[in-house]
Amino acid sequence: MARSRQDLLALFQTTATEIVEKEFKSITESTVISELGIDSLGMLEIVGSMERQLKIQIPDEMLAGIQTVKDLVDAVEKRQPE
Amino acid sequence: MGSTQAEVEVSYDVSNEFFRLWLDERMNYTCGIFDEPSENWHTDNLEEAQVRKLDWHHKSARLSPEKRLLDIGCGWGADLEYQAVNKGVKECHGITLSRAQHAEIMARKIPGVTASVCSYVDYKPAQKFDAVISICMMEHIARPEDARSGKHIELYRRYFQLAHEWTNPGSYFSLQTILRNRFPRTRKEIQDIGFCTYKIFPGGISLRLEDVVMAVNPYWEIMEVKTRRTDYQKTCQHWLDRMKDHKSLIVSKWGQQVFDDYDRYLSTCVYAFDKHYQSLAMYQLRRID
Repeated sequence: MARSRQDLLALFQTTATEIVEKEFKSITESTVISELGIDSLGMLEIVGSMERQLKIQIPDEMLAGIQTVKDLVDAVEKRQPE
Repeated sequence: MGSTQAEVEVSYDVSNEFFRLWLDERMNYTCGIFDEPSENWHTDNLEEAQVRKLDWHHKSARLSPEKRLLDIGCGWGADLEYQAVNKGVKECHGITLSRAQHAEIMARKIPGVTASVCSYVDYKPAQKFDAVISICMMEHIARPEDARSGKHIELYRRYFQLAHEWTNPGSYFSLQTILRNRFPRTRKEIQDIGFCTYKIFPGGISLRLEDVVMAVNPYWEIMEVKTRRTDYQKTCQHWLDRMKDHKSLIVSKWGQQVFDDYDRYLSTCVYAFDKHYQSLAMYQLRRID
């Protein structure tokens, strides 16, 4: 069953915390990912982990366009099975 | 633009004797063909797989004895030697940026085979050719930063334009390129593939299939494309196994670091082909006259 945007936001937060080993407070969809101190390598790892957890695949050509948490949630939401 | 001579020599000049230990007997440093389901053909032998590859290129380039062949990025001369000796092609010329590879070709003293140390951007043939073969040389045309900025397509297109200028009407071009399919997603995978890209093959990057489809126009028509991902996985596994069989000798002659680097690189290749991060394509192109 498809997860809600709120659930996907929470999943990003827990995944990012685990991968970057840092606690994040008050992440919203408008948060710019790089401003959380997450570099491109960390971003790839977070995307990969979310893909595995949700059993989806985000096309590589979309990755460069993911700047905010909203961008990532949009990309994930489109690929969830209905 | 693309790999410099120094970078090419990082990739290929550890020592000819080092590569001879684990490549096939002809020293093909590219994918062989282990399976041809359409012909019910299979081998587990690396030497046979490499000959099958060279024969594929012979047919794809529509070679015959009286034709003049240009091999762009000719390596240690495996293809040049096969076309000249096994297929009777009377004039075969190769270009490479590696001085060590060129020395090997000269040492083989194959009648009808000539070679020059030259970048394709500087090459000016005295006479046009009737066929071109280029096996995994395009990976040296663009740098990773060119691919990120989008400049790579024009670099590839210039390469196809030059090959067009160097050939007679009616020519065929048999091409082989590694493909980058999907970007890895774990830190270890990214670091290992980055190691292969920046340490073993500095200045180069594999192609996307659509890069070739775009860049061949208006010079060459794609007549056939075949991907061979599992063939390259098997090829790399053979190389890795052979290299490990010679571990003591490699460590004693070239050091533990060389062994460790090539162990990591070849292991990563086997993994990357298995996971679809990389693939390989073979193309038959016909000159648009």
